[in-house]
Amino acid sequence: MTLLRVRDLSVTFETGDGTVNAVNGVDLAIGAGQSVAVVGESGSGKSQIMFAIMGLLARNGAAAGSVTFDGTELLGLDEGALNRIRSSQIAMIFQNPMTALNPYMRISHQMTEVLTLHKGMSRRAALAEAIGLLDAMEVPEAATRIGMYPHEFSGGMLQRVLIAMALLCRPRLLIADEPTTALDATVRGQIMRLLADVRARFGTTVILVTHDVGIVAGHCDEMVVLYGGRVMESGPVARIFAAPHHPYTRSLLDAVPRLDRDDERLRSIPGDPLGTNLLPAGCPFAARCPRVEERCHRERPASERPAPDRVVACHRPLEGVA
Amino acid sequence: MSAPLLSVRELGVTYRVRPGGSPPWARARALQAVRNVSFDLAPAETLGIVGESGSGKSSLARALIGTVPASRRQALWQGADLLAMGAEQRRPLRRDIQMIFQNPLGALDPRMTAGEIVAEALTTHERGLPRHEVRSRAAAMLERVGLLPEHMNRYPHEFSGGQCQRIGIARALIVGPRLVICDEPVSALDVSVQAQIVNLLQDLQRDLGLSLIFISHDLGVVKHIADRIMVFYLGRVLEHAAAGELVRAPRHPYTRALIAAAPVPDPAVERGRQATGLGGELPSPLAPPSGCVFRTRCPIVRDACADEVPAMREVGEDHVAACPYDAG
Ligand SMILES: Nc1ncnc2c1ncn2[C@@H]1O[C@H](COP(=O)(O)OP(=O)(O)OP(=O)(O)O)[C@@H](O)[C@H]1O
Ligand code: SF4
Ligand SMILES: [Mg+2]
Repeated sequence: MTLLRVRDLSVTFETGDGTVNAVNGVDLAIGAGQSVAVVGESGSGKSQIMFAIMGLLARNGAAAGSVTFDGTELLGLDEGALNRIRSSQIAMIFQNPMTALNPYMRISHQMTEVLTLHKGMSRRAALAEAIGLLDAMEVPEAATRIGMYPHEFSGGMLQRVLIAMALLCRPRLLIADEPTTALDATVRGQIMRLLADVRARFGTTVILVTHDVGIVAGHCDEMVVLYGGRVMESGPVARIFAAPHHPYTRSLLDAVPRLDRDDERLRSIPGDPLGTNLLPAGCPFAARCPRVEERCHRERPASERPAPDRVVACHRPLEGVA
Repeated sequence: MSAPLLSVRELGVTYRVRPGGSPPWARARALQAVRNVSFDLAPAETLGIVGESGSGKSSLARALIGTVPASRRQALWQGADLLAMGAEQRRPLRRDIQMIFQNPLGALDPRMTAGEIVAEALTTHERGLPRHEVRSRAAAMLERVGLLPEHMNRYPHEFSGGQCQRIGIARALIVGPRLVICDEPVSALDVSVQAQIVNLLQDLQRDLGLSLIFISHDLGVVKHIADRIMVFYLGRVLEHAAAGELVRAPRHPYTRALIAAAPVPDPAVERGRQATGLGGELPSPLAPPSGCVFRTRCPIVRDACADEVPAMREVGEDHVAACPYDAG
């Protein structure tokens, strides 16, 4: 069953310098129970897609297209109905957990408030529930630590707290926007495993937004590769890693510095990521693409389905065997 | 190895800090950011330093350029004691040792053009150069780092992160340094651009015979550029070896964990790997564990680890590790 469907989504921002085209005609279909990585470099539009889904765009932003969650259209939904879905069915966590918390309030207060307010639980029951979830997220001595303030936790521990908080209302969809980017290497893996665990235990659908293709390999089933606010390629992680169809995906995978290889030089992609003030007529990757041909600058490649589970938007896709 | 350019012995850096959230009248405490670090750096050699945030990497860099005081033993620059020098004696050294920072845009003066930024660095160290020469040398340097002539007259905010880092590199190199300390120079950049900058630094290092100290939390990046790697944890060096050897045959349990935590962009490898990974978190640098600083997270910890700081032990040729037990 498709839990979340995004059709032809565009996000624009009106600024003093003109219109910023952050997301340009994105389609996504996310099945219930899947774990999907949305991968792209900075400014590729990853976060704005998620903010559009959540109805959290900045005031100068506008979304067009369609976002349906379990059959309900979210774009243009009135605030009250949207709030009900947001507070009970979709939760989001961010790169910097500190920004999502009130620094002057104990964790206990911030966690139980959600339950007493939205679910009408007694304070006592709410506290027990919150401690239980912290415990499940492997926060040591949860019953004691729930009485502490955010600054008394390390970054990794705070991310666990946030995941626990996100799970309070048992959402069906958890969106994690760069949840490990601010964390140290040895803690990053812990959080990724925890997210996998959440999916297994609570059946939560997980969208992982990340610029780090490396962490996708071990932790997600499906992936969507964005560039310049458009989907370049999507499909099962194992198949894309084995044989990417899109030249950008190939270049991105090649650019990752690897410990298990002895390359003399890193393989870089020439040039810079696309600025969002320009909306190229052709393929957004054309200026940096090793396979570019004349037509790529003129005509935008349409999304094709080389296989039932794969999508690629390129005039000269790489042949795959997988 | 030829005579070292820089020779550091038992260097330490201590800050006086008030712990976060403590009231203003609380006594400041000593935070030992770097403890007992020793290494030699040869001319034209690249030393990589890896460690998690707060492990003391940047403090070491700052102590070397003299912006934070080091509790010494010694840091010899071509035989002269860096730490004992006054500001006046250090002046010529400011040219020999240059630095490149993490936040490329923040490190550049927003009111100056790229050309002016690079030119200013040059004129600070070579007063009285004719203007046309300053300009042509700045232009040549900007071109050398991969920028175009028309970029000379643009302001920092008009550049991408990668381009800003190129300007930072040009500014550091125009004065002809012997050593460039790069503190997380690519961590703010996208992976595709990261590779460009690492390759550029590598080329410049070779062409100009520079020594580099390359600091990063990303072992994958460091491995590509460094000849030797030092692994930091809570202010201490836990392992030090040639880059290839350190990655192929790590001996300290922490280095092993770091390597195990580095994701491999290959689902077949990742899924086959058993989920080892370290538990726990970095202890507070204000209250580091007694004995071995790594013991609270170490998979092979023993009782004795709490008693004594393990000495650096020779574990291979030019390879030392601060653990008496073989993690083998
Ligand atoms: N309020 C706003 N006004 C104008 N432009 C905006 C606004 N918010 C976002 N943008 C622009 O939209 C584009 C896409 O942004 P988005 O945050 O989705 O990128 P991202 O892929 O999440 O990048 P990162 O990896 O840096 O988080 C960027 O160019 C960004 O500058
Ligand atoms: S459409 Fe052309 S420019 Fe774009 S990725 Fe394909 S080959 Fe490259
Ligand atoms: Mg983002």
